[in-house]
Amino acid sequence: MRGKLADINDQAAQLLAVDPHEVWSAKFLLKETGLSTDDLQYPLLMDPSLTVSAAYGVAGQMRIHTEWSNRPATFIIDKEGVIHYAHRGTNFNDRPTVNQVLAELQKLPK
Amino acid sequence: MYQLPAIVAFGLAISASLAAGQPPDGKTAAQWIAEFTKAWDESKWEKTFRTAPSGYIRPLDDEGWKARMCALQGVVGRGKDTIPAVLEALKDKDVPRRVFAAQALGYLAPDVPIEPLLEAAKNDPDAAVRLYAVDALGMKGDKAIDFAALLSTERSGDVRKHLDYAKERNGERVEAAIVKQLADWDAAAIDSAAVGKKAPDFELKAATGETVKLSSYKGKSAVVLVFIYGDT
Repeated sequence: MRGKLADINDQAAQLLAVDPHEVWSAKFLLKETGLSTDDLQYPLLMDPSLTVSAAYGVAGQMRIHTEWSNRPATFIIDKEGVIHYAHRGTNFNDRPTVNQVLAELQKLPK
Repeated sequence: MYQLPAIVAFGLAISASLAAGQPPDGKTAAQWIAEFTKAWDESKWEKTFRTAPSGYIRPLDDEGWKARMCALQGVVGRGKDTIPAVLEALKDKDVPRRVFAAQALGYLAPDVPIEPLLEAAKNDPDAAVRLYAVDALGMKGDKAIDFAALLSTERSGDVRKHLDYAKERNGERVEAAIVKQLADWDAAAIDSAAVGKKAPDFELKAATGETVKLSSYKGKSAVVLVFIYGDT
């Protein structure tokens, strides 16, 4: 995803990631790879109250690491704030490819 | 003067029955936990658990997660008066009930006594219960809690990760704003995102500390919103 970030930006789209934890897991995991939150190239939004994850229909549906975490999902929201595309994954690998995301973005009115 | 003890006893009895959960409105913690237990069916999902990539995720048409989310909101929204009932559920023989209780206690953590959380984190036979109990201990923001000691005896890699996260906090308790977000949430918004409809607006804090509001992109750019489970 990071490699194609420039392509997403070229489509004048903003990438936002939502993580259902408090910030500590992100800080710890970034530290493990020698990085910090300053190295993130897009906003990593923390949703520990799970309310946003629940509104988008993904909260508490996956159990890959013992805890009940979010089902992976991708939404594309157009410039008017309307959802143009929604994909809720059926396994942890089930995501649209970056090219599929770019193709959907191309369909949006400029 | 001899009437005073009776008045005091009467007052204590009233407040005790209120604390025991006679709600002026809304469900009690025990009722929320019962609703969650009724709706949370692990039987279909458990057959495929870990045997296939799909075995890690509940079926798309499964609605148990909604009962979980609504019960979490119901309990946390009701506040610290629910703690006795949730602590009872933490000792239940039904594993999903104990897991739910431990998860809920995280949001109530500042008012939850340490002992039952430590006991669950150390000795519950189920890793998910221990994991959420560890989270709750971290959310208390008590620097005296010895996560290193728990790490020395914990054998589950997932629980150990959460012990690492708890240590990372260095005594930072869960932010009141996070608890408030859940307590004040209108559960009618659940699962309301759909193609063709306005994206549910939200305001969340980024890992770098700044606040991001979805509707701030309106008129400016499209948004690709990716939900991750948090270790990638």
